Amino acid sequence: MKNLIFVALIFISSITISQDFTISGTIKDASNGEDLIGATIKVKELPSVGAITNVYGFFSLSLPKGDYTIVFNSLGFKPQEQKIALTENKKFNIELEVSSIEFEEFNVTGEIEDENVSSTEMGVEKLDPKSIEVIPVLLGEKDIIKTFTLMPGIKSGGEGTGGFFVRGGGVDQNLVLLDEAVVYNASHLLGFFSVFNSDAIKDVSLYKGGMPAQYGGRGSSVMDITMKDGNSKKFGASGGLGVISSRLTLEGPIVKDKGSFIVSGRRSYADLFLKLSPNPDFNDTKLYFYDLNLKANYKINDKNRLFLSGYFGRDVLGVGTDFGFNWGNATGTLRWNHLFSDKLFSNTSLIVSNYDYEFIIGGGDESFGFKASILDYNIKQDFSYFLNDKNTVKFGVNVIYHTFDPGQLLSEIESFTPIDLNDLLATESAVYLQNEQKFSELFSIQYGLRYSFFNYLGNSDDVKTYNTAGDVTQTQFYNRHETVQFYGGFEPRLAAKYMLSESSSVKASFNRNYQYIHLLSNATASSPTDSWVPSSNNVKPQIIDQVALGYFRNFKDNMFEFSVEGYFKNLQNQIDYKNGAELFLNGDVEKELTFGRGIAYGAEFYLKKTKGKLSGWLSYTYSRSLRQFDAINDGEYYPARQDLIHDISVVGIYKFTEKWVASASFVYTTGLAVTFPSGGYQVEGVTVPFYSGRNQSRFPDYHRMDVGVTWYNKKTDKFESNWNFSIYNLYGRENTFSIAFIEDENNPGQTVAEQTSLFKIIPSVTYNFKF
Amino acid sequence: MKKLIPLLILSVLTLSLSSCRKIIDIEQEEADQTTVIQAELYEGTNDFSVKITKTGNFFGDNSLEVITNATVTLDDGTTSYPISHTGNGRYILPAFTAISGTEYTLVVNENGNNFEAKATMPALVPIDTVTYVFLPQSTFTDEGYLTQIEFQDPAGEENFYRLFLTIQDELFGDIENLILLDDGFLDGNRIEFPLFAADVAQAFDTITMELHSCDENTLTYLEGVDEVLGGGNGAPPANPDGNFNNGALGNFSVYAVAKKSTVIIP
Repeated sequence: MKNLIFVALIFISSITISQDFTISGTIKDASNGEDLIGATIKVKELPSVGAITNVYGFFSLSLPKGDYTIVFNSLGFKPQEQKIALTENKKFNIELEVSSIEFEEFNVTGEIEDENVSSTEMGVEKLDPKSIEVIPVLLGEKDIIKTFTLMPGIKSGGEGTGGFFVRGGGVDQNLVLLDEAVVYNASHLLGFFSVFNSDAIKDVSLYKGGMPAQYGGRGSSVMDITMKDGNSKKFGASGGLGVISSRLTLEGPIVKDKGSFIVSGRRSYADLFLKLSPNPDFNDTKLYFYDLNLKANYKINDKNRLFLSGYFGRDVLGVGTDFGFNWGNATGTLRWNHLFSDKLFSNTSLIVSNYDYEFIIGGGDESFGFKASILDYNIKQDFSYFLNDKNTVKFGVNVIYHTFDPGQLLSEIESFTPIDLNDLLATESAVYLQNEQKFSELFSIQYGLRYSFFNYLGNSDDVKTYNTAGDVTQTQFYNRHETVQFYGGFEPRLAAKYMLSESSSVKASFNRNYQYIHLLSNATASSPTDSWVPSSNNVKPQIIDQVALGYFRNFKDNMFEFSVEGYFKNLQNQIDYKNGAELFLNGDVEKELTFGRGIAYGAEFYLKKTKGKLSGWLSYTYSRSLRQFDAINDGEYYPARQDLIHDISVVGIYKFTEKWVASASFVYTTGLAVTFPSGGYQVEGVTVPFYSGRNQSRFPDYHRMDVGVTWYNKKTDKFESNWNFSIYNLYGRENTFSIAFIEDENNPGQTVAEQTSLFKIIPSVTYNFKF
Repeated sequence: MKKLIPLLILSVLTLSLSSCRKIIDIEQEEADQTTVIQAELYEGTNDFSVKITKTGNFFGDNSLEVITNATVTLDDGTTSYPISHTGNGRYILPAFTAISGTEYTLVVNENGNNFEAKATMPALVPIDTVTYVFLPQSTFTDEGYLTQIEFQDPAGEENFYRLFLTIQDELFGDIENLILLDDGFLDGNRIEFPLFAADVAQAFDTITMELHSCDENTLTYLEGVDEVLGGGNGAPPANPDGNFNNGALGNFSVYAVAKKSTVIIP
């Protein structure tokens, strides 16, 4: 594999020998020193040539000797021009001033003009965390994941279901990265809120398909979140007071313009109100979550920079001393940016990710406790080689060491023998090489190849092999770290763009993704106790292929952006439970699994208005997601739970004055596919439900409208603040959280369906400040 | 556990927010009616009863269509016994003697469809003693006597048990509160099984234990029933796996019953 990269590099460099010089450097926000991601570098004299900054604000562009006017620009900033006579390599450290017109437009989707049409990538959605604060959300908690679900192809399962679905994929097929660290459970309070505190986030991209070769490990999507670096100019504080939680962020320079830090915390306080309740059942109830984001960076010199970032979040539930339940993620990332030359950028990352949950039942010496966790150590080396103005090469390697603790049951009761399921161990590795090549002004291709491989390792215990009936066919002892099973495969990635005109393009992409770890998710609702399992001698890696085709068009001087994208996905080695599977504390959970395949396809229509007093978007998605398992529904195709056929989102933001911004959103989605009884019969005098097949029924359709208004206080140099008022579920739609089958009060002995919905009309108010 | 978490969240949200419940109509596709056969054969001399119905509605009127014209026979390997309909879909073979170790085959022919199940009568496992121990009030129980059954599990074979406990007139272990046991980790042991699943008994209550030895398939079937009635433990719900071929629901279950009573003396 290393030879392959070497050969490819030689090949690429051999085709482009010339007398080029390189301009390189960084682009920052002049007000706070934050690196600007995706800022553009354009050359006036060469309209087809340009570069964009990477996630560290770095750019590199090679040009022939000559006189040029370079334009540095970024969304929401004043463009800066520099005339240069290029006779040698040049360095720039650009600081862009915030544009005063920032207030006029709420370009929530954080894209530069025409980027949707001109970039080679397709199937990617971006969000500007700063702008989403005007979009109304549940209890005023601005939430990047909830805002993404208003975009085409990204769907929520409704209130109270964690995670999100991308193009028919499951919740576990989303790779969620926070400063490169995997976040295994991205929801608080069973999915009411995401774990990402928007105050600490600089940039978010979500790839629905055509993901670059640097990403891998999940089948459906990549959500790549970059935390803010902190203000390197001066100390500042910002925060907000909300109905359910409050936030506080502190940031400032470590050494001015050389290093900075940010600390951002959030805690909910519903439980503090519960304490006031006279009802003893509630006033000793614990129910809260918190998040803490930390980041520091230091620029050692022009060639070296260090970053340290961390995330800690936890949910805690409890009733008195009898019941306690808590879960959370912790991640840490240490990064070292190094410039080998003006053209070769390197980043080395050491990453730790942890997710665990625990519950305790009973108090004192009668208590039972259950714990489970997943822990990753991850080392990553990425290079970007800015070969010339036509080619940008990226390559790298990555090794992850996984430890899965499937669970241990402990008790203070003396006679109880603790149950501790053995840890499962595995390594997941990958190498990749990718080039983005501009063939002409009109045509460019991003092509890459990733080779990933996985070792399921022994842990000084017996490894069982099961047949399809779930019987053990072989038991073999493996030492710790001895390979039990190896899997590996090539993952080709391709994205191509052809400009039809200045304001329209067609794009196509293909990607293959291997997924080696799987979430055994409760099929009726996702929960913090769903467990991750590795591929093994019994469980093969999921392989997901996607082809997509899109048409992109901008109208009226970019006032309107339109796109339509169609996709087809083939899903191999999908996992589901056998009928009547036993899951809890089951050391042999693999025998409860059954394997099959799936397809997903859809069309996504997106019309966005980016300018003017009224901005926002309309999105409609038609999609299907079907599965086929020999052991389920007699081998016929059946809808996946997330087969949400029709999905409509409308978002409108209206700016009345500098001070008042109003917004509204509407969503409509087909109900989740669920398994309900289709009949009944009697066993020993009791009616037992009869099921005719998996996922043959539907929840009622989901729809909801939210409205909000934001009032900005007069902004001064020292202090700015705003009030946000919102109403969630304006017309009080009772959307389904769960359906239970109960005895009919009016007709004893008969069964009726009782729906529980969580939220009717929820007004809320949030106060945000910054100084 | 899975049920407890949403319940807890719900209860808190109910207080602080505005969760609400209402009865809704579920769109149902017309499911084909499936034949359901329930048969229980007991060791010793008893009436052997078979009930045959079709599946009915789950919502609303849940009366079932009974099958009155089926041909039902029980075969013990040497003789085939016809079983006649006695009314309301029930077929009875009176005073039949079932013997441990014998494989029985039940054949039902209903409108040309043939359904067959085989089961081997297990050996009776006797109860040694029924004991009880006083428990003070705690998180888990009220104050009273926890009952315990003690018996010798036969070594070298798999054994499966369904337990019933009667405290005065109250029965524990019915189909909605099954108490099931197998000797997977306890083969050949003397088993002392406290019935946490039942209520505690009070002084001078009469308690009766019934130890129903059954075959593996019967236990699997009962576990399946327990799961669909209890809403499962997270896995998608599915019909209990009975031993009839040809897609019939229900089960041909075999039991050998031991029984013992005692009175709680404080």
